[in-house]
Amino acid sequence: MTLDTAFILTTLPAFLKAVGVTLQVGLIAIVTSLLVALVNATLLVLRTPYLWRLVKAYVELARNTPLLIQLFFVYFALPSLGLKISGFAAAIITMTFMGGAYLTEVLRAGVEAVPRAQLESGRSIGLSEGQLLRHVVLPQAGILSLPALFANFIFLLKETTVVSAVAVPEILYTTKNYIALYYKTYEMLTVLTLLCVLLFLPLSLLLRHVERRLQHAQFGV
Amino acid sequence: MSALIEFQGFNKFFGEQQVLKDVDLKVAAGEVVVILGPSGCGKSTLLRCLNGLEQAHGGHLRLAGQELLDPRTDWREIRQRVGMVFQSYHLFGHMSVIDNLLLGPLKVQKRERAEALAQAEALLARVGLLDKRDAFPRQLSGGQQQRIAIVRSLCMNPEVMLFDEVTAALDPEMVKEVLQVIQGLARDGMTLLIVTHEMAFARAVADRIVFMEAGRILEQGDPESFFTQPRTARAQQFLEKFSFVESLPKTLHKELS
Amino acid sequence: MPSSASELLLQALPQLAGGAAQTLAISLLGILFATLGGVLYGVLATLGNRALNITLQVYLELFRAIPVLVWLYLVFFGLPIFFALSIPSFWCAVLVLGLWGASEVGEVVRGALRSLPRGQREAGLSIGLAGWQLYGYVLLPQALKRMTPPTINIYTRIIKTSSLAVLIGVVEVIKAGQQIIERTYESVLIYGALFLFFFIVCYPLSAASRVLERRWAHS
Repeated sequence: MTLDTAFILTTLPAFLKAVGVTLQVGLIAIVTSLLVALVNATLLVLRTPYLWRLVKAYVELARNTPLLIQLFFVYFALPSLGLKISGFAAAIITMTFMGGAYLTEVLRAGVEAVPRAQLESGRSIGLSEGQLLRHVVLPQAGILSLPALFANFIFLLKETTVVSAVAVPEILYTTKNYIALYYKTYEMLTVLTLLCVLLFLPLSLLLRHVERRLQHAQFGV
Repeated sequence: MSALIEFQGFNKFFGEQQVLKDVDLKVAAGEVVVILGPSGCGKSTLLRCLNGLEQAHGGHLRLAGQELLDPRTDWREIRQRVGMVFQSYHLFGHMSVIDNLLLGPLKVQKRERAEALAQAEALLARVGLLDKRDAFPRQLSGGQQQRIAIVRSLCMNPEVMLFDEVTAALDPEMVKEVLQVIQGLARDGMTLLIVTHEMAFARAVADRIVFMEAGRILEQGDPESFFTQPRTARAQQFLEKFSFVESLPKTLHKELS
Repeated sequence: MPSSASELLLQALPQLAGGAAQTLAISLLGILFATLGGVLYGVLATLGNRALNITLQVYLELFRAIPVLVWLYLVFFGLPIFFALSIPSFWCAVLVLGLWGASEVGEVVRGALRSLPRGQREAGLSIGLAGWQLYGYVLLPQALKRMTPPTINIYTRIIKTSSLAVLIGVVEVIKAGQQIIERTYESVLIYGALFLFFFIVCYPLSAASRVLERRWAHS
């Protein structure tokens, strides 16, 4: 089977733009999810009355339902209540909703993974609970969470392909578009596969390297 | 008399490092050979080559005349004839004691359940653990588990039994019960190859002591000669380390002011 | 003319139930193949054969680098082109979920087997057990407790990911819902119901996994 490389070259500018959209959606989702997760994790760790239960319920809801349903709900259902949202906005909102829940779990697990002995030795040298949190728990929780955080970031980046379902022009949507327009299925699928490997494989290998360096247990996704 | 086990010019490497160098060792049927030596001298490795857990790289190894360093060797068959007991016993934790004992006889040797069960129970009784028949390993002490590990190997009706530092992981008060079992096997005429640090036991049970260092056999002989008049300087140094505690000078009574 | 939400839902139920059956069928078949494939992967990965390990690693990295939805399209569009095979999208979904799931379950099984003390393998070999006997009687039974909670989590993810099958044209629960919305315009209600459906299926599994993990935690 021969590849129509000339055609592929004509599509490259569009795919480059698509990669940009993938990264844009992915990175924004990562940042917003992290912010949401930091707030949630704080509420959980401090056990703020009522709010921590809300956070727990949110996490269970977001983690036990598919991204696609959440996406369709925001994009198709909410307009009937008067809110009209663009595909891009729906994508960001939904991915933040889901990503925030996953990252909350990672941070919570990171805090719980700090060995009890650390708390005990901190208290026995006279640290207050606040100092304990700031100087002993959070730094260690941060390091323990790093591999799982990174793994989840990669996961969010890969999940951007799902938002192609609401016409966000990332790499999968662009591929489908070209296939529908020009029927060059073989060529477009090849480009898509190559893009995925080039984008995500190095990240996956980097994660493996980070894990080995930190050598801690995994949680999250 | 032809030997039951024969190592001849035996060599083994771990990567670049040679861990066994031109080892020549013959063990007759019914003989009890105890291998002594400093850590890392290759004594455990020698044992593990005998049941195929380690690969050899040169020389000959014969069991009852059969050459084992042959690509066609069926190690499954050899392992039924050469039983091995490990330092950490490694009983199968998800099975009861009796199931641990029956696994080999029933699934590997395809024997009749009634016969295998009778043997297993008889051997359990002999080591005084018949009442633990249905217990699980985690409910037993180290010494009990090790005795059962020995019985597990015996249930396969081996010709030779290998013991790799079997008391090293036990609390001191449990060492005696295990050594008594091994002594019983020696009295019954079973061929035993034992690697141990228990000097007094070695002296009592061995027909022959083999002393190794850095992958070579430095000397071998009957226990009394070895312990009272070792021929090599290295053996002398080695034995001195073990009598170290006995010859420690008493801590002088301190003046308390 | 349905006058209330619950009446509408009741009328829509048969169609939704049909779609739900498809979703569950895809999920269960995917879970089945993922489990069988995963155990095989885990056993093969612990045999110590270098060529095998490299092959399995390539397979794993392919499924990690390429998102599942892309795999769905690759199989759906690619199979006819490369292998002249035209299989219904239902089975495309099952195939992809099975292969992807197997790589994930496989890594869990491999990790669980490797976490067993090495002596178990040696003790088993020393009483003459053959390879398959060693795994079947000694290693896998002991690895089971460690494997189960993470594997249940993977099952949950398979069920959620099965929702993507709608995008390659399978008439499963989301498609059924969308058809009802086309008639009735009750998008909030129907999508809400779909939301609830997946939650009711997945949440018990997640909870069970947590309970088992706590109960079987070894120190």
